[in-house]
Amino acid sequence: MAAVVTPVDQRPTSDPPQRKRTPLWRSKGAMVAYVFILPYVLFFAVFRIAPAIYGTVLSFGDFSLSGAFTLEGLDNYRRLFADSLFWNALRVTGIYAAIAIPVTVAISLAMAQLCNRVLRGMSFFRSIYFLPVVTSPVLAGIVFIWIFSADGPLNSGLSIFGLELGSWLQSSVLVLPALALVSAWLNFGYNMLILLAGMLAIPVDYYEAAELDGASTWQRFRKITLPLLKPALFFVLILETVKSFQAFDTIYVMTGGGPVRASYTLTYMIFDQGFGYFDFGYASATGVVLLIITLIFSLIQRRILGRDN
Amino acid sequence: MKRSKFVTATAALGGAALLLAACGNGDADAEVGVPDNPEEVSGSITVWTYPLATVDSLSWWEPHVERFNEEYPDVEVEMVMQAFQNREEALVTAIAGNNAPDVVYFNPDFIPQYADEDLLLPLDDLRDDWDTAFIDSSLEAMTWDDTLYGAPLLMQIMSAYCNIEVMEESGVETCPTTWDEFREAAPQFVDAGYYATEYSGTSTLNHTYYKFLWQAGGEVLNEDLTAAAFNSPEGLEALEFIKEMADEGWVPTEPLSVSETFEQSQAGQGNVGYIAGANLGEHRTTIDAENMEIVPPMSHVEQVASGSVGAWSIFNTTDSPEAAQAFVHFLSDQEFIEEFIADSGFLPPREDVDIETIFADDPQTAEGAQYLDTVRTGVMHPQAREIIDTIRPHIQSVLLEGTDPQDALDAAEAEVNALLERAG
Repeated sequence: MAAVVTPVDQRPTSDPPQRKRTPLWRSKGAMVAYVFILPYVLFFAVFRIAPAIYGTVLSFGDFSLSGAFTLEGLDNYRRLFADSLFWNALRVTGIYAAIAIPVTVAISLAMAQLCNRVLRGMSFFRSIYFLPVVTSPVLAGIVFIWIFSADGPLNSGLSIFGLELGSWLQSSVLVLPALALVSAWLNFGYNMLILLAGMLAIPVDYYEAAELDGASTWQRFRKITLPLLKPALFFVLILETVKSFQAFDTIYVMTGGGPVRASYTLTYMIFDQGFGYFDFGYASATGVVLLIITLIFSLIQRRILGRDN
Repeated sequence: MKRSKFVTATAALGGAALLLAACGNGDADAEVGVPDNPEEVSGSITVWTYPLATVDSLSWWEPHVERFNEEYPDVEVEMVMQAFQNREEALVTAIAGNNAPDVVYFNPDFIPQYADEDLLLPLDDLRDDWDTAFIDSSLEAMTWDDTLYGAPLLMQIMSAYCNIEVMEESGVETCPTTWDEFREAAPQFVDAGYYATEYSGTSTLNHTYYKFLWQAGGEVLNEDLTAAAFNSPEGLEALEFIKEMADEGWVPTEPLSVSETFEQSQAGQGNVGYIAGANLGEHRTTIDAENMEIVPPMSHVEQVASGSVGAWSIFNTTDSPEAAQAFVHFLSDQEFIEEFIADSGFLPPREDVDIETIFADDPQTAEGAQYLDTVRTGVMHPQAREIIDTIRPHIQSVLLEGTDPQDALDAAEAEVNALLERAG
């Protein structure tokens, strides 16, 4: 049956007048919500947005500690893109992120899956796994220097399997995986909690139905857990991407950017240029480029993983 | 390119100023000198100090500030004990936030950098006895562009010593004092299961490569500080000497790329025969003083020791320049420095301090005073730190990756010259 379309001008006009509804954003509830989020928005604007804008302005000039600012247009960016130090730092940052993000997310996911079961004392284990999150990265760095040293426990363990790798932090090849492992150790507890919360929200019925249909554990994980965990996974991925691109403290403590600048990241470069050499304009330009890169990666991830959320 | 200058527009970016607010130049042109009328000097000053060996609490400073106030009753002094950790970040943030201290404790490498930013008050006229009472090298370390910017408080020499037990077990009879003597002793230390010495690939080059370069008779920069001078036969000899240490296994490999705490280091565990530059106070925490044979600083073509000078500088942003000058004058008086040295164990920058009495029970520290004239603290240049950060990876590549020393020096020279050219 063909649909009957009533022309706009022929629509009946005798309908009872509808009561004009207050838009949601102007409702009483919304007003209360605004009051609650106002302090955070203010803090965010003052301590995050404004410095970011100011940093962007600085990137177009030369700021001296004595207070003078000289506008230099795109000079800092021209210098940046011609600077081998920047390209090396970008390469190091990229490689580090490429190792740290999947390693951290994989460990977090595995630990969340392990903790997602009813077992006596499970809350104790969950608390233990969260401990690294509240550990000082500086202290952790000092301990991991020993762990990764030539005579450290890691190499002692590996030597059982005939692997003689030497000091991890002295090798240009092994230093980034080593730092990525430290990052994973420090961060997996927090990510694990987010993923665990996501897993606990998945109805048990789905698993029971799949089990009745003969699905294996791996199939249940791949076909039920992973798809339904996408929102939490997307959040963790974004979090880890930002953290990886901003990696600094453990690198500062453990390697100082070495050996031979093999762990000299963009954030380390920003620190050196700003606080070490007082070249705030150049440091800001590097920061703006890092911001753009992080944004692009986050948008790509959103496109791939988070489009439904 | 056309450049337009303007003072940081804080009005347009008011909130953002929390990050890096512009700060004015205050009384940059204030005259410096000894105030003639202490009772008329008034003001409030903030002084940033740091834990200086055992002088690590504000309670130590209280009686001294009280004594200063007896002469200057209207000057309010607030001593602030800062931490050495993140020292530069704290300082830069304070300056950028228009919250700089009036007086600050500085080491030599800070002077050119901050003076070049036009942030420090000249101190040439603060005292009449600079030339007569102070050790020349202490003043030179605080001078930039022929202007004195720091009133020396202390001097430090990194002492050379041998671990006596390790020497005896290794059969080394004489603790080395020259490169050749070291080359002779090193294999003996290693054969006995010890390390001959330590080399840090991560610490400032002032205490590592530069020291060997200076001992070889070389210089980091040319005389007018416009170009690199380390890519020379002397620079190559110094780098090859360090490479020899690494290649022959005379030094532990871990410190070549990692900063270890002293307790974790081989030296801290008493496994090293000869230490070329030690902070005695730190080394005595794990090595018995009686087990240390202090020797003169190592020499090759020249005898050079690494060390440092600690001094007080005044920011020209101070609202009370007279009060700040009066306090810094007080802090550089013979009486105060003598008390400070007695309590802290550092060496004095003044020649009229009675070292023999103060260090009667500590002849090892007193011995260091003999060699203060051999101390070189670093390169006096605003880009000194950037130069170090530029050269250091090339030295690491020689020690860890087998890069040819000459190739490394060529590459480092090109980068340093580009840096100096850009800095103008």
